[in-house]
Amino acid sequence: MIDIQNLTMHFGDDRVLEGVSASIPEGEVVSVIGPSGAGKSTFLRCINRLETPQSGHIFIGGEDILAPGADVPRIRRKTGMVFQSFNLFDHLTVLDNLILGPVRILNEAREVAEARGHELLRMVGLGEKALSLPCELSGGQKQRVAIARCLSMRPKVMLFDEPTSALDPTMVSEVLAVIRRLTREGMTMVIVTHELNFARDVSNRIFYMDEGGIYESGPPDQIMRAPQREKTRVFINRLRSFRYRIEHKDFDVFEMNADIETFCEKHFFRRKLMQHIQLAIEESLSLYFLRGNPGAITLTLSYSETEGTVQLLFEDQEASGDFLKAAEAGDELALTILKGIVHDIVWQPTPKGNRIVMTLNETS
Amino acid sequence: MDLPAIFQNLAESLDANVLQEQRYLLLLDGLKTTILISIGAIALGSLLGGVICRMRMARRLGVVVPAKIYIGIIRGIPLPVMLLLAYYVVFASVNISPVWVAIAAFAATFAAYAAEIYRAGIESIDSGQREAGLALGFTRVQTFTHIIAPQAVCRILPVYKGEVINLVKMTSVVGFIAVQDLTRTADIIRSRTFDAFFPLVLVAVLYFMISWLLLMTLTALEKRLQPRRSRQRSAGHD
Repeated sequence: MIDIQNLTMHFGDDRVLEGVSASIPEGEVVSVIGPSGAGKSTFLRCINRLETPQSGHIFIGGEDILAPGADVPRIRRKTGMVFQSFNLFDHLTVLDNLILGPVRILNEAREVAEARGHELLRMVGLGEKALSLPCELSGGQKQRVAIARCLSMRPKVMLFDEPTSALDPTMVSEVLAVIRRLTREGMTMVIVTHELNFARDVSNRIFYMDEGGIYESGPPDQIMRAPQREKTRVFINRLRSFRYRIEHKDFDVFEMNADIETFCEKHFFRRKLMQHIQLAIEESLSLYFLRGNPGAITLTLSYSETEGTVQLLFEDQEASGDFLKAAEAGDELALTILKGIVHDIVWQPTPKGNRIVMTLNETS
Repeated sequence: MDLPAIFQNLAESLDANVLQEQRYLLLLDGLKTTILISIGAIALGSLLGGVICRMRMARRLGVVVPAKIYIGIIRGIPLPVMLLLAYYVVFASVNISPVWVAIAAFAATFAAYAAEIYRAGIESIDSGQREAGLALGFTRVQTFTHIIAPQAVCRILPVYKGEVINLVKMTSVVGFIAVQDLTRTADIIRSRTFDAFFPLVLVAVLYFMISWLLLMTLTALEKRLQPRRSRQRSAGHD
């Protein structure tokens, strides 16, 4: 139904999409997820050419909407788009919003269009709002009218651009319910969303967008439970990380501690957890420094919101063997303290040096 | 005791300034000229304003710049000077009634202001409305006529009304190019009867009434265009 080939789009120097290709067969529901600024919306808006990319082809039902001289309005009619900000026509009643397109574009008789309009409004649960003005509706109601308005044009594909992002949490579910209903009716859909659980439930395939393209795609279970690539994993587990590079034994410890405190406060860590993190770092570094100058160490502190764990990662470039074992043999006090506060601690060799990974629990 | 005296004075003034020598015909002519120039300039200026606005909002710089220059120049020149320029320079060698010169000059001026009013109205419509129209499959022109324009009109009218009234009042300077409009007529009568009060107050009242009628008409239009909950056909059921 939709065939996207080699889509490239730049905004000035900003390379938003870089050679994106994808194919969406009829009846498939694709959710597009990813961090903000990854080009999700741009990708979607290229499909109905609200944005015109620099190069590429997008075939909708076999017709290239990006071809020079393409009858864009006609090809666009095969798609319907639901916007984050609803974009109902404010000067028209709900019913008139639904019949404007059919009457003016499809040349349907007004009576026929009105009958179908009423039917669609009942489908989205707003049968009694036909004569209301958009300004009299709640956000969730507006978005359901917007969906009905799209359907009134009998599109083959529905494009959703963050349909629930502008809604109160209490109104999200009523909109999602209507979208779910459409999936049951076999509508081909592309949904840009931040609702990961919804994306998992409703879609056949998920595109994770990052680095100017579809970074990883696959069935929802795979993307959500076992993402294959690093950035997907970070996104799905809602990892937040902090990195600090220690160049020398006499580094600015106060600066590092201040940075860590800022990071902890930003993510509402409890005071005790923060102290444990700082203590763990201090003791680990003392293990390092006991053995002379280890060169540059990269410290990564990452926090997984979904798992509720904090991971500390030390990486250095000195081939020195498993010094945790050495420390254990030497009965170092630092190691004893470390073991008292971290959940687990592992040493791993890397091609150039060492890696120490330790985990702390949010509740510890 | 004094009242009858006042009435008598008024009656005398009326007689001297309006009835004698059939001066009401003179006044009527002046009124007609003022109305003709006003309506003509508003109609022409509104249309020309639309064209200028379209140019001003175009994407091609070669179209935008002339529109900007036009608006800039017109807004920077006092209306009476414009009028004199039109009469003694632009149309100097053309044998044309000064009334038409006045209409042309006022229309040209009104167009510049109207263009900016239209533009402000159109640009105040959220770009989402345009996108929603395009996404439904409307062409650009259809999106404008069915979605943007109806909403823009509601926002344009309040400011446009003010500009219209302004124009009606500004037509009072056409006497500069020897057009006998309402103001000029009053002046002529005054010079004949040596009564300043009556003809000037009478003309002021007449101007007020023209403005008021136009204002009422446009306000009625504005009300009609406001989005309403139910359309007339279904008013009974709701």
